[in-house]
Amino acid sequence: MKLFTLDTPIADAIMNHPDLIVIFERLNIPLGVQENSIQEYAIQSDINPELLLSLFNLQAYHLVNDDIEFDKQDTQRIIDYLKASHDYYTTEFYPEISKYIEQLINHNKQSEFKMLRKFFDDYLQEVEQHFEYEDEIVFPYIRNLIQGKTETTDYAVEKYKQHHNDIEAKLEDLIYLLVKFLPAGNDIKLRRQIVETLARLDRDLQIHARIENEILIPLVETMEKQKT
Amino acid sequence: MTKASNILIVEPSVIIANGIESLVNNALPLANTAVCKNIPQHEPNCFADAINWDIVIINPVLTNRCPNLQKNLRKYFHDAILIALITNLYDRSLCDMFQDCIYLNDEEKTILKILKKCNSEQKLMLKNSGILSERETEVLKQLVRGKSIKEIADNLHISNHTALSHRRNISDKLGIKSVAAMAIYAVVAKIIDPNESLEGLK
Repeated sequence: MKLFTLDTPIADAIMNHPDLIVIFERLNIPLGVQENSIQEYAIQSDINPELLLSLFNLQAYHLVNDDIEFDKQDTQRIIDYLKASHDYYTTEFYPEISKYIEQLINHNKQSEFKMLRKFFDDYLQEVEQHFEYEDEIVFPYIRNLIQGKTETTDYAVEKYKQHHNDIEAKLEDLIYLLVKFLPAGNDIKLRRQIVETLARLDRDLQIHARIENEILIPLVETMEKQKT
Repeated sequence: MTKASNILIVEPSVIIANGIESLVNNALPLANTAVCKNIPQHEPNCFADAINWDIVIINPVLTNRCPNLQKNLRKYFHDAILIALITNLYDRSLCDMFQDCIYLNDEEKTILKILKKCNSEQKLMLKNSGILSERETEVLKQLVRGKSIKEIADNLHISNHTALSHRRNISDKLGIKSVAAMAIYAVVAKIIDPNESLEGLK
């Protein structure tokens, strides 16, 4: 495995790891990267090259380099990135999965499938609450810190670390139920579609949580210390 | 080596019954089959108890004549997969009582497919039921009924620590962490009744 460097041409990286494409949408920078390296394109797009590189290595290889120091502007970028990911999950991923689950229920009349729908609905509600909590409480709190506003509440980012595990566990449960336990009807194509989508989502959510836990939270903790 | 399935065919017409039996033998050569013209109405338990039927193929015309029988069908054959053998025109909701339906006009390959699918589902169910130990199954039942670890420990006369470690083992064996997902497993594996679990979750 060869990690990306600042000199890696972006087009090569994307050809080898097509799922890197989500990064551009979330950072709101256009494609049409031509022959540019990560460093060159980052500078053109007014983003810290080290941040773009970190996101590339995280998305493709699940690796976080914790030697890099990000500044306040980067922190703002990261929050925007996470917020854009939330929108992507809620407007694209979850509606797609809901649609598949609905088809599965229509296909299989047994009560365990009705329970599966309830399980998914409860999970979705939990996820939406969690995103809302981040968008409306955590991110504004961090924005205030970045802007040096002193009137921020006594909320500390420590509180927010616990939130992620439960959501990931339930998503994995869902995949296990579909793969291991739920009796197969004549629905192999549909199952494949659901499991593929869930696995992609699971993977992306894991990366999402790592950006929050391993990059964002340490940054915010440093800012909190500086404040006091 | 998995054990051969026991398949019961309940069908009043000897022509249809023998036809289905020969298709079953064709699809599942290892299965033990038995044919019966009717469910003895006064004493239905006598033959339901005799053997643990894995698959029961039954013509609903029999249960329609006797509403009680229809209600109790699941009870008589609690672990079996029920397939309706449809020789008449019925409301579609009838099919909800059964895992699958075979229609009189079905092609041979359709029927073989249904039989094979039901047989592998039944095998899967048996395998599922063997994953957890008796004690773990007991703990699982109480968990999905919404009982806390402390309540489970009290009910089963074990320590909180032991109850917790049962819970952990269930989770490890199934690969499932949340109680809500365990409830779905418990229904699939026929450890609990679906109605009960839906109530327990609310």
